[in-house]
Amino acid sequence: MSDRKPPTDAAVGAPSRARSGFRTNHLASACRAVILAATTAAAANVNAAAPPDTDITLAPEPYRYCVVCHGVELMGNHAVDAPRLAGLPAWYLSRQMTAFREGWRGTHPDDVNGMEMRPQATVLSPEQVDAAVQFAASVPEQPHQVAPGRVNGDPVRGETLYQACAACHGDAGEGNEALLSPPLAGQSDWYMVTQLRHFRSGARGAASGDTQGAIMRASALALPDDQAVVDVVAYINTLNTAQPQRGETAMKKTAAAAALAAGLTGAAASAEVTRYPLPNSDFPIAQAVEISAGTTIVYHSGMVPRPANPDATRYTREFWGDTETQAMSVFSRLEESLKAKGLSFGDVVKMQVYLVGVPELNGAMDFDGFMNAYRRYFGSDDQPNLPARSAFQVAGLAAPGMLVEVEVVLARPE
Amino acid sequence: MVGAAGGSSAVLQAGIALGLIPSGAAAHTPRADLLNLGSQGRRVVILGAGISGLTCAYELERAGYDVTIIEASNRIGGRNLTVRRGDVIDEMGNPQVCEFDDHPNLYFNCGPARIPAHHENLLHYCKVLNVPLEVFVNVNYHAWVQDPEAFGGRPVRMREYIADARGFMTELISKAVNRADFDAVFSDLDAERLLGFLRAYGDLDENNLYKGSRRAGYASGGMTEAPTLKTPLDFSEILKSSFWRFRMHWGEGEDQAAPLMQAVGGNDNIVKGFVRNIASPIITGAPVQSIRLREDGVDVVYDRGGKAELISADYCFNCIPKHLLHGIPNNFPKEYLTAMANVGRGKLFKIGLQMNERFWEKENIYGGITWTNQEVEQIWYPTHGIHGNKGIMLGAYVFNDQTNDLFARMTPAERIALAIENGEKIHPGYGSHVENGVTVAWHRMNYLMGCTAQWTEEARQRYFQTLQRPTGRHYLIGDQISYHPGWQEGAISSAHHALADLDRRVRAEQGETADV
Repeated sequence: MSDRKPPTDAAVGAPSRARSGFRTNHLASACRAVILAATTAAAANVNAAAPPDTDITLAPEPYRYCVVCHGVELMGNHAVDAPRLAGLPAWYLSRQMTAFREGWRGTHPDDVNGMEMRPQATVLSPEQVDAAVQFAASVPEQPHQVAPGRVNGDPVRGETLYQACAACHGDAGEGNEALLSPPLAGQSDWYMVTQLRHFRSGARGAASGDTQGAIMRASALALPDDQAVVDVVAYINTLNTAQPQRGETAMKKTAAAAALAAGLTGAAASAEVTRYPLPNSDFPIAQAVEISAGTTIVYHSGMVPRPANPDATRYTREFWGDTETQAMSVFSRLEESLKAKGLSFGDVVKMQVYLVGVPELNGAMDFDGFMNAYRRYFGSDDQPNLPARSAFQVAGLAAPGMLVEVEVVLARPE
Repeated sequence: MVGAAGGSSAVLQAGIALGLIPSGAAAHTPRADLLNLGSQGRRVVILGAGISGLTCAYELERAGYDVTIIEASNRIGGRNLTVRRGDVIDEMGNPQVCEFDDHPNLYFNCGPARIPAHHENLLHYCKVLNVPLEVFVNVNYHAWVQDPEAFGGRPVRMREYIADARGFMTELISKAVNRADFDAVFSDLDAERLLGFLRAYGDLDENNLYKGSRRAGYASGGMTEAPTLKTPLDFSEILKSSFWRFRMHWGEGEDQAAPLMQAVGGNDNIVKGFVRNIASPIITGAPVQSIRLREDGVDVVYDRGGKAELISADYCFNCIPKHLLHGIPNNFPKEYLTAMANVGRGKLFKIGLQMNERFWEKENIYGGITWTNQEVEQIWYPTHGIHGNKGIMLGAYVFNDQTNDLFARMTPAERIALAIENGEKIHPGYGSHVENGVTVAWHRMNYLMGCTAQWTEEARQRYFQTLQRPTGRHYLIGDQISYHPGWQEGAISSAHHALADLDRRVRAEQGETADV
């Protein structure tokens, strides 16, 4: 073996005598290294059940410092409080390096982890920062390496709260470069909780010069309490469609989507579901729906609207819109959600509708307004399948001014 | 209240003296005695060239195993790090180069610095690896005790503090012994003996009063002139000082009691001793990229000069810090990962300062520790190089997490400035002696990011055995998997524990083979 050499004393306890400068023209070696099966003779022993990682992005020498904490392929490491960097765009990474170098981040005594990062940013020259950012942005996102969620918040409440976040960070947490808002989906959830708390306390976003931080700080302060921080992050966790524990579901989704693409839509796809019409009525609901054993049932959480006008004063009628507007928003969001799961409104077998009363009707619910929206999705020629349904008036929903919430149960088409 | 004389501890001591009960020293992990596999050696990959990894390599190759050591950093030794002129301190974001003069005595043990006499596995290797040792002074009664909250911040000699504290305590207890309620538990003879004990322990006079003691050192005279005792310190000030909380009893600690030892010329001579005697390849600069357990072995992918290399081994011994393992793709069982996540990552900070003269020797200080309640917490005086021209002093050794954070966020220059500011309160003119220094935040050191593993009592109960047991053919080792985190003896004992388990498995396999 070529390695068989007794190392000399010079190699021992004697750290490399001089640290070679960071090389910036080194990105070529950041290419993904693929191991050939012939690398070692013993490679033939590899068990197919646990294949070795043969396709790994190696950090070039100068950027090995990044992966010590942020993990192989920058997947993040909670044990050393280092967030996931894989999948973050270069513009955002670059801005954060600036924030650390300027002292906007990593100088507040409560931000211990930020203080740990800051020397990494300040020790580099601007050219080296650029090269480090390019490296980090070049690491492909590995969905299977997204750590399972750690936060135990209420994603349903979080979804409501997230509507304000979505204006900048996007409905799917995809981020928005024009607004300098980073993607959130897939980010380490414990890190987002820490950062929201830092924004709220002023440990982040309060430094003069940090204009983007100040905007985020104002938004974080709009969250009503610390539980809201945890809840909204719990919802953001659900936006990451590549969570490892969902692998199985994702596969089914693909199968279902393929089935849909093959034209098995609507009633034809809803095998073993029997819908009993309301006798002597054209009201667009079923009297009952029967599903046979073996059908896969999907319970969908209550869906609430997104703001009709996010720029309006928060929680006003102008902000949310009236009952019909809100219901349209609810159904449109529900449609997106179902689509992502390989489902559609034609698969809904049961629906519960919660409506808040409005002053224009002396505190009664605006049932007609709701039905105007409902009819666009149920009982049309395009979508004739009707669910069993109940509607209730409730005193209030998760946020002030919110008038409509709808939850559904679906039978997955075979 | 004072308990009845005698009782269970006296019985226990008598039992040990009669040889009926084994003493603690006999209960340590036995050294490795592995079955020699000869030409049927199995392939072992060792992750990390710290003390536990080196121990495994040394023992395994002697038993015929085919061993490869993979080390992420560019040096061997893990936290056993001694720096001399030109060495790099590879702290994340704060790289430093040691600027000490090039002289055999001018080195700084950044990691392990003292070897207790009962760490016999480590001492065994020092002996067989020909690593010369010398005595290390851990407690020095001439060193200082300083606390901004006591004696107006003025440093007092440790011997004075301890003598006076004992004098006052024993005088108080002797007053209580004469009270009637002691009659219930003490015979007259017991009481008489107790008073004698107290007079001796506290250096009280014949009336059981403390009037000062020679133990505190004389105020003047004592050789050619009549000695004058020091006036006892104010007891209220003694109590104000934080010294009594643990520092006063430091030298009685399980691993701190005299005598202690150090390797002559720097403790990394232990590492060099191992390396001289290990023929297996030690591949440095090779961070691990993934660890996959197989039914019949372990696959490790590592980065070798920008190329991913796969090594498929029959067994893996892994001393990578458990908190960094979370950042390396693996297929460890969930309970293993959960256990690792429940062991904390400690913080530890040290400063080494080159002093242009050994000014402390003019203050009758030769080795040992001055304790202060300021940020630096400790100042160590080098035991070696006595009466030489210069010396490397330990200028800070911080146990407190908040202070460790404080130092970690400073630049090396700011850290040294604070150490000088603190030192001036103890040794006026301290800063004028400082020529240069190194600062080592172990919780920020590359490829380590922590010192030491922090086990809560609950974590010990719930997770220690999970991590101590192998998972498949993978053994997690190191001081992190011992009851002695932060000690080389813990690292070696952990290695021995894992090797013993491997040996049992291999012997069982060999037995099966023989039967077929």
